[in-house]
Amino acid sequence: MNHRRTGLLLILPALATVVLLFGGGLGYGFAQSLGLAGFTDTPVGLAAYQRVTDGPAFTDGLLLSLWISTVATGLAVALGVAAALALRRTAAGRRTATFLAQLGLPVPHLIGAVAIGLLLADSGLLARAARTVGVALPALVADPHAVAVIAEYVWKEAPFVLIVVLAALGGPVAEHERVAATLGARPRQVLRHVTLPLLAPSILAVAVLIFAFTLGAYEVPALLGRAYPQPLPVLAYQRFTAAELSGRAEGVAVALLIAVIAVAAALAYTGASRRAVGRVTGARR
Amino acid sequence: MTTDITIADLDHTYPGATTPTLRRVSLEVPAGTRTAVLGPSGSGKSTLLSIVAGLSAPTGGDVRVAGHSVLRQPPHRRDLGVVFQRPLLFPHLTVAENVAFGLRMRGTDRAAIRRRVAELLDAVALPGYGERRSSELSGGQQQRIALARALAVRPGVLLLDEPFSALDPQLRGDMRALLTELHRREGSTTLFVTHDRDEATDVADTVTVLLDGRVAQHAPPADLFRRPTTLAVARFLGGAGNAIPGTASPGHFDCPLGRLRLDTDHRGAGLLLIRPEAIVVGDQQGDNVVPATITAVTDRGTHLDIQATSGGVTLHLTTGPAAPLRPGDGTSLWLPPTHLSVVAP
Repeated sequence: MNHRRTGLLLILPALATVVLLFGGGLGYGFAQSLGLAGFTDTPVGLAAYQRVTDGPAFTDGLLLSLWISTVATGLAVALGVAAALALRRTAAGRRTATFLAQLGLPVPHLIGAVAIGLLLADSGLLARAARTVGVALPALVADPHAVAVIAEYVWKEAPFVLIVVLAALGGPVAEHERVAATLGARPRQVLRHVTLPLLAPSILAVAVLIFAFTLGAYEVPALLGRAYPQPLPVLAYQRFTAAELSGRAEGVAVALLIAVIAVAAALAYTGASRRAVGRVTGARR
Repeated sequence: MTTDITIADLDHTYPGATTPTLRRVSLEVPAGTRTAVLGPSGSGKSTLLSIVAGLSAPTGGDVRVAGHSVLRQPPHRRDLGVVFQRPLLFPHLTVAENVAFGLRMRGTDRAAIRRRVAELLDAVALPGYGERRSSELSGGQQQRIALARALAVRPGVLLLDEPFSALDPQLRGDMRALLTELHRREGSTTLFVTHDRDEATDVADTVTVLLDGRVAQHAPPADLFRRPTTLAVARFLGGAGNAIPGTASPGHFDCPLGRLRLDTDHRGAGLLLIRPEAIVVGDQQGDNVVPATITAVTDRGTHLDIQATSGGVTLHLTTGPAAPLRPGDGTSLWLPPTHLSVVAP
């Protein structure tokens, strides 16, 4: 009992900071979205939520956001895992991997988006190069499938996956793979029955991080996306900075809905990963 | 079913290393036998095993299994099972799935897998553990499952790399007995590596002593202790406590203890070796009995460590704990000819 009280006292400063900074902002935003706070003409209640979810802009934006996050996460994970498996064998490979990651990770997404824009836009490097050999590329920037947005996310996040998976491969995975080989497993069987199951918890963790980040990030789709439909973060910002007094409440409402979706995704992940980790460690739930 | 292993002139040097790990190592493991490779850490014994397993490549020489060179075959094509120092059970699989792994990879049908798994879990005395996770087992149980997993596909060759050295001594004894029993049932040609001489002599029918990457001696366990071929082997086996310089001639060895009768191929100057346990205290008549004076007695509880001098030479010997010997006593010591060996100084 005494012990527990001491523990509570010890985490109090950290807890207070989190509650104040995170909970405070979130709570104030929530109050604004309900018309309870801020300079707004929104009536008290769920009016702002009703207004933003009414009509196709929200639904189209939600679908686009989910499309971008899902495809970007899937591609980044596939590329990162494949690269990690290919590069881990040699010291030179590991150095290359670290170098690649160091190259990409510190570059802000905004800069990445500009670079991708310069490369993929209708007047960009790629289109001009293609034109000289007589090929006309389809629109890649501000296109219906958000190719440029996804490309930017994959370019940025695949090295992140690579680093995480390389770290996970540093554990006893290699020893288990050797055991599997001595038991007669062909390389493909080793990958399918040993390597990937052992990496599953790390891969799931990094996937949910990327999914939640791409779902909430604003700058890349704002720069490289279309005017309509707008993914949710862009929609939120656009409503938040709109001229009408009601826009602020609506913007916050959209932002909070993004948070709800991200939390739902994280919870689904936690369930899935606990099952995966349970399978790996044998921990009882 | 069983398969012989021939290791021929194997050389191995790690990239960038100046001294080789293995130098012209040759070894015959006849089908169905158990051979131990015994050596201190750094002697190259684990490297030797990993070359046979296909996990490392030698820089020279050949490994033949059942008469065919296997060096070009990756591990999964070699007909073998390997047990490592750590059990390395697959953490994402149950105990039964671990044992079944090799059979599953070969596409064996489910009913046959189930039968074989049950049979092996019985054999390693863990029936009913099939549905558990490896993390729920103790270290000894995990190693037993690792043994069952390696044997599941009935490999021609079973390789073990210090399989019991991570277990506590009590358990180690049980595991050796289990391994011997399993070998009797399954018959896989067994090559195992250890630094523990008791383990080697308990389990193996032939022991190869590997020192500094070279085969120093290859003999049945008893011969190894009775007749070490070099001083280094005797030292490694703890039998160089009594090394008496002298001169060997056919059937004899002349040294400060007098002329001793023995059987040796050595000629000229050499060192006479006799283990402390082999010296018999008492007043026997006949060959190789020398008078001696006890100079020190240390009670070790299970036995007495005794020092005695004879002809100016200090001899170390051991007796049972109840022997009535005190420093200053005069006695006679019998040096049994079959326990004497002569090595190059």
